[in-house]
Amino acid sequence: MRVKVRFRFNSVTGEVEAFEVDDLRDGPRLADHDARHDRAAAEVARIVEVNALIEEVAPGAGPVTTATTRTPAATETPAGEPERNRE
Amino acid sequence: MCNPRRVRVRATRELAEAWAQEVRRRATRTGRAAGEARVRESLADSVGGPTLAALTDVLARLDGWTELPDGTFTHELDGGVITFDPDTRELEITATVSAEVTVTEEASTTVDAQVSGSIEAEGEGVYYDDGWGGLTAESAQRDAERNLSAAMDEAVRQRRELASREADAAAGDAIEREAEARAEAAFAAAAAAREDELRRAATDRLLAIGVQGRALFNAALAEAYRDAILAYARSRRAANLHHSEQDGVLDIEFELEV
Repeated sequence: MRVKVRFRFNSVTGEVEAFEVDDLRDGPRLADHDARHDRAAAEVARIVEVNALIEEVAPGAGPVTTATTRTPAATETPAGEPERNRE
Repeated sequence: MCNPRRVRVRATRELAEAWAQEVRRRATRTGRAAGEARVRESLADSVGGPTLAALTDVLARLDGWTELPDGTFTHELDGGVITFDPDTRELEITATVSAEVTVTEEASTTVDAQVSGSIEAEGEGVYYDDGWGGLTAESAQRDAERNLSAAMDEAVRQRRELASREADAAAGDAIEREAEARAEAAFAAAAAAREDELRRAATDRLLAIGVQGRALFNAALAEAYRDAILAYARSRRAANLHHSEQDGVLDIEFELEV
């Protein structure tokens, strides 16, 4: 099973604008499809984010952009978590 | 006219004088008072470990960042500094506003000065036997006594002045130290009085400093994301690996068999 990883970071805003792991496989789903996908997403996500929140995006839902503010502002800024989109 | 004749008169005066005089010293202390405002954020619970590890290497090679002996990295900002500590994974931006503070303080005391002893002086007058130019023995005597008087006054003045200087010098060092101590204390008070104002100015500046600092740090973070993700992708023999950086936006794509 092949997945495509897309990562986009905007250094102007300090946001991770996109972090997606897409299933490229055509045809019927494998029995352990979800488990494989989740493992792949978690493995890549740990590079970017600690305890990344991984969410599934249903096919056809369109791209979902997630943002994470990582640098301090004058007031306290809560750190968000990147999400994985699965289509 | 013939050769001039001279009349010399000498006198000795016994001096025994004492007086009180003020010894005064002034000290000026100039320095800078500073106010700081800072903001911190821990990246330990947000940015992934591989990226943070890569960030250390990135900061070590980027121009403008300096690694300090304690292992932290700093970058000067216009009116502040940004610091990243790889051990605590804490980012800190500090804005500093400083101002020159100058204070002048005085110290004084009264000391006794005295002068005693004999003072000798001499006066001279000139005349001609034929009275040429109106210079007669009588006028020469008057001139000699007048010159003696002036010389004696000058000698007394010099002795008094010397005694005054000696009395001043004897107490001067202590008074100067006292003036310096007062100036130091006054400087500390003046600097402290300005700190609140400078801290408020630093807080205002922190907003601008933060923008500058975040831009610098985000540029380094982008390189760290790139290095960490590309290292992972290559270790997993990723296919169709592409990455680009344009207008501050880092894009990475690759495919994996999972």
